[in-house]
Amino acid sequence: MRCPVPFIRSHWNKGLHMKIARIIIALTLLLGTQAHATGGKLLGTGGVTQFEGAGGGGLTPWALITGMGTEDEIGGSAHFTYLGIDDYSLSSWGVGAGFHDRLELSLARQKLDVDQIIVENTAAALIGGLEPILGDPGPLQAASTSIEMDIIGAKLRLFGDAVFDQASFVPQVSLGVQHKRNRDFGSGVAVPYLGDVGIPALLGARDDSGTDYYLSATKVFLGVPAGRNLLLNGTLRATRANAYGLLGFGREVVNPLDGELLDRDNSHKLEYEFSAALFVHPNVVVGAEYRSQSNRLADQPVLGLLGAPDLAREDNVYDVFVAWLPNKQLSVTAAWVNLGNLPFQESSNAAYLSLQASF
Amino acid sequence: MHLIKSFTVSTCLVAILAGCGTVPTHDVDGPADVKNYDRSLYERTSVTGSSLYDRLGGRNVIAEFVDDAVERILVNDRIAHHFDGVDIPDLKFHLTEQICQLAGGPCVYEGMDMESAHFALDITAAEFNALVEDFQQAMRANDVAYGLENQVLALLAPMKPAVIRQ
Repeated sequence: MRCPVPFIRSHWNKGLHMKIARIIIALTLLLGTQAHATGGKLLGTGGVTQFEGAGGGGLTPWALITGMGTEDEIGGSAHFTYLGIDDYSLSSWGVGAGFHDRLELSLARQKLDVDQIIVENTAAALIGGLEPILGDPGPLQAASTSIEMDIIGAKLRLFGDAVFDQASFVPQVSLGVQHKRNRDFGSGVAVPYLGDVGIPALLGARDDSGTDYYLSATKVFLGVPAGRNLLLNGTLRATRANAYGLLGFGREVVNPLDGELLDRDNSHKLEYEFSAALFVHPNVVVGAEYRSQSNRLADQPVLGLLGAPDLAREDNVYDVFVAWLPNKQLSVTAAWVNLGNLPFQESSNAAYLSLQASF
Repeated sequence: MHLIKSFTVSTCLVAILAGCGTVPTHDVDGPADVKNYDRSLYERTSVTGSSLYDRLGGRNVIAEFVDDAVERILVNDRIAHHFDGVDIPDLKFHLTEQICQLAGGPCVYEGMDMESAHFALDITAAEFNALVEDFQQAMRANDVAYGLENQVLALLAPMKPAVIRQ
């Protein structure tokens, strides 16, 4: 039975998004065939694009500057990434520019699609504790919903040359920033008693936007393990994000009945990210990545009160990937990602596919 | 397992970085003309007894791919102009001697040091990379194993600061 008013307020245009995604894919393929405009970096030394838009691996930024531009050139990249798992899917697309192998600017849009059953279960779990007080909420019904986020990124190479400085162990080190704006933070889902709310706010997140700061150190070892080229990266990130920001930033829990502030956690937390990538062939890279998460939304009093203490628990994430770089302009990355707990889907293993064009 | 592996590798990296200040920047044992770059990390961390020169198969193998690489460079629009008026047989000879010596072979490079050789040429990073790509293609065309190709590049890569923007 449908509610008379659409349960989910659709405030984005599905057709438009498909169009944008198609344009990016077309652009990617087009750029991939335009060799003459490509910068002078060596194959693979611009990295691929991570799902937040920065040059790096799939999961974590690297100190490398995106695109094929050397210190005398301007390069750039475009990406489209899809990550799918039973009731969830995450798309990311965007563009990045690298200026003189020194400064990287990037713009990305993420869209998390959540299946109807998950949205219904989440809302039911969160308001379940209110039923004895407020009475029967009536039938709960939801269409599938989505959470979108915009990410503006900048990265500055501080020192080092990850690839060419083979005479020392000094890595390339870059300082980065990612400003994220969640577009579906506080509205989009109609919940009994509470009215129009957003999933992130419902789960106890405080803000719809936040800024991550990170320091990445990357070093390539030419010919070191069995003659192969090994890339190692470590990234230290200060963040307030919950689930990368898809579930908002910080934590603030207010009793919905009387407005009393029950809990607040708004500080930046330090997270760790590691990547190892090996060129097993001139055009094929295999690797693994790891990224820790703050897990700020779990175990909070109000969710406990309302009956869902561990709904938004975040686990540390890791992946294994294989990337194919047929030329300097194109890369295709496939990965298996262990996302850990998602609401109503524990130990989630997702398939990941990313297409990147560089010039 | 992958998690543990990436942790271990990263921990090693951190430990290595802690000691980076002590890495020498000059090859004190070698002649003055290789002073601009050190032995590659590979050569310093390698536990195999044989030199890269031996693994490549000797001077003739080096001479073959150097010859091929220079031919590719001379038809590479991006960099060929830098070689106008250069004595090509002489260039091939010196490059071979240099790589042979760096790889641990019984050769002595007696050409100019890298700064002098590239003086006032104003070579860009992109042009340096274009030359690296020609060397890669030449080594592949001459059946140099990918593992050895990377080790040769590791010897040449540290020359970049001495070659560009002179």
